[in-house]
Amino acid sequence: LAGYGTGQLTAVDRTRGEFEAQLSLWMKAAQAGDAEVYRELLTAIQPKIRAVVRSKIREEAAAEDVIQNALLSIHRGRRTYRSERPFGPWMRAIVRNSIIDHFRDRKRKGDREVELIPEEWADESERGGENAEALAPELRAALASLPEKQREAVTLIQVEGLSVAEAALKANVSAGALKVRAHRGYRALAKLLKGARIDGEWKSSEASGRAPSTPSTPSTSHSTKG
Amino acid sequence: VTHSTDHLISGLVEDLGPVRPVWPMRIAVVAVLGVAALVAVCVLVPQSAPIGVKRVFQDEVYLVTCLGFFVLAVSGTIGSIASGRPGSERLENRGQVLGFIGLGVAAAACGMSMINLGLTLSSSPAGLDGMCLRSALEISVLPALVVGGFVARGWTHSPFRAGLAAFVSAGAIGGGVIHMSCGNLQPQHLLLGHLAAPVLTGLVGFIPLGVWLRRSHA
Repeated sequence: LAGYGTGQLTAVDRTRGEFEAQLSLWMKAAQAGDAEVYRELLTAIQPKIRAVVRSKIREEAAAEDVIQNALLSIHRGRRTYRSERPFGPWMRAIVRNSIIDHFRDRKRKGDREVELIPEEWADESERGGENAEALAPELRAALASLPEKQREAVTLIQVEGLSVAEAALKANVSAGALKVRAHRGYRALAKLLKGARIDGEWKSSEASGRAPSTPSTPSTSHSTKG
Repeated sequence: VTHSTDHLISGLVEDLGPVRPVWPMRIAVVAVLGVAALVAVCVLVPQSAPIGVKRVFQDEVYLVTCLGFFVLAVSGTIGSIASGRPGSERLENRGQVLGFIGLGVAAAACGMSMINLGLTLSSSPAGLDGMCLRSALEISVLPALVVGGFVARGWTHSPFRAGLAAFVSAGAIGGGVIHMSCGNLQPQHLLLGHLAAPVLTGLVGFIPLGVWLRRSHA
């Protein structure tokens, strides 16, 4: 790590040119597979990405998703960086594209919204559980009947609570592809679960005599995260 | 939420493996054009004196079409390869726009010549258009694989545009080589037999490549 100069730069030293050169060196090392340097690089660029994204997107959760998508794109597209060229423009182009993707997604959001209420997914008594066991039987059955890729996307985002970028990394697909799979999954679930609730209660809980679970928040339309 | 980003960074670090950086832009473009030159040599050298080469300076429309193929092949190749390099958006846009201007000017020259000569857009006798078009498409396969390979190795934000530019420029290489080996000066033949090649390769190839790029990059 010392060979790449990690930690050698002080606040005074961090002129733009030196910082760029440092980032370029770190990226070159990351391309060679140096994990420690890569962590330094991602940690160092995160505030810069955040500053660019927050200047365009005010909503915190949406901005965080864009930051994560940008980091994922930098990771997946790292082979396109050439060390003889400055790092900043390369990184900013990827961040800019992530921001553009976000606004495109938001524009399409009207068509993609699906009536699902995440708060109602889990049993009231078991809310906060981290796996599918905490889900109502109807939902668990519907989830199991989904095609594998859609089930994986929905489970990673909604059951395991991962962000789109984290889920995409885990599923080894792009963030866009994961969002498409999740959206298809939500749509299929909405269709499968139509009529599975009576007066805000799952049919199975009514049959077993359990107390009805009251949604903690009003019904909202939910679209794919990020 | 920031904790989630820190978690993601840890995941990215765990997922890190060594990668080979893409070739420099200039080398990639030279490689594609080298393949194009090789294909041209293989097709044109067996002809003792390529008939199209002689005609270049005899007919204005033929010359304009030739230049159109050249501009489209070079600019389209640069534009498509640049589309896979973040930070090269200006080069990407300029290359693609210039390429399509080249195609447009060549097509317009043929069209205007047809109007001046009072010709209609009908096929040439004995399936000459089809023969030239088929040969152009066959010649385009290798350049298409090479350009497509460079685009796929990149990280494009506009998959369908990149796919279209890659296949149109590959088609221009095939069409251009056939153009140099064919002596038919009829403008409708130039349109249907030669200039149709980049259009057809673009239409056939951009959807599969675009879908693949979108799935892996978007």
